[in-house]
Amino acid sequence: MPRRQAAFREDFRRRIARYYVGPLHVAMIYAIGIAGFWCCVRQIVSPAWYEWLVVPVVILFANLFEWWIHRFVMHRPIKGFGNFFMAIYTRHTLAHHQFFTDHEPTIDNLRDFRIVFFPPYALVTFMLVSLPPTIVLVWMKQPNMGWLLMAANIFMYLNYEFFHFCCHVKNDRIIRHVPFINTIRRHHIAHHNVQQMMERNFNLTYPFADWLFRTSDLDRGPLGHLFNGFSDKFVMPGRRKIIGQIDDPDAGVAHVTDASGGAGS
Amino acid sequence: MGEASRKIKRSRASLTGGFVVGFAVTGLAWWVTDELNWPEDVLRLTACLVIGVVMGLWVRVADL
Repeated sequence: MPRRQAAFREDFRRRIARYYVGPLHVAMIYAIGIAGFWCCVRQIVSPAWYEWLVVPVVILFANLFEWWIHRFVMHRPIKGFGNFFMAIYTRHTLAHHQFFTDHEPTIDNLRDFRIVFFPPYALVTFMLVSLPPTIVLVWMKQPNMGWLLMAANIFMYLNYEFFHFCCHVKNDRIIRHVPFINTIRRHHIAHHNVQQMMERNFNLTYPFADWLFRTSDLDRGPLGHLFNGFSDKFVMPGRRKIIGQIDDPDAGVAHVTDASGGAGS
Repeated sequence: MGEASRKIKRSRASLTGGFVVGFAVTGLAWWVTDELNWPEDVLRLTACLVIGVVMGLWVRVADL
């Protein structure tokens, strides 16, 4: 692990609040999400076939939204708006990406959940944002579509959190064999390369939008993107060159140059 | 500044987020208990408030 990353981890962990409990953080997110999902599903009564079509539409929009917010909000310092977007940028680019690099992309203990999962109010905000279209659909006498929209949105959020956790979990003995999850793990760890985090691999569930907008480090079709797994066979040659060659594992280490021009440690 | 004297200040986000989570969870708990056909009484209201307040407070003290 680069020493700069190790130093950041040590400092970040020291700043985690004493009363923070990783599993409780995750339990709260999933309790809120599952409760909301369950309540929405309870409102759905004998949906017609065409009403189910809202689900793939939500999945598509969620995919595009996750790509957009990751590329243009989480990795871009946007001032104003009561520092709302700057806080997201700081938390993600200046903390999450310092804590996890492609050299060491995994957590060491349960308190590291603090830097992996979003705070619970992110899910609440997401649910509140999903509420207006739900209300509009209910108002348009399409309650099933409205509740399916809300339920699918919540599901996609929980899907995002779970897949992102799988990207940063230490032991990949099982998940390396699970379709979609193995794909996104390689995809996301490549994104943590400091040289390409601003321009490549923004999806965190299914790398469809990265394929669509050509921001993937892979050179293959949509199905190949979704089922790529851990393979680096289709990584663009230029991208492969960046990974592990330009990024110096000793970045941040002070080198002292002696009188003869050699570097000391 | 020495490590021991370093003051760790809780973020404003956790304060706002704590309130957001508190209100939302109280409302959500009310909705869940409604689906479970709990009667609309003080006990139900108290239970929902307690869940909401505890979760909101924890967001604050855990500085999420």
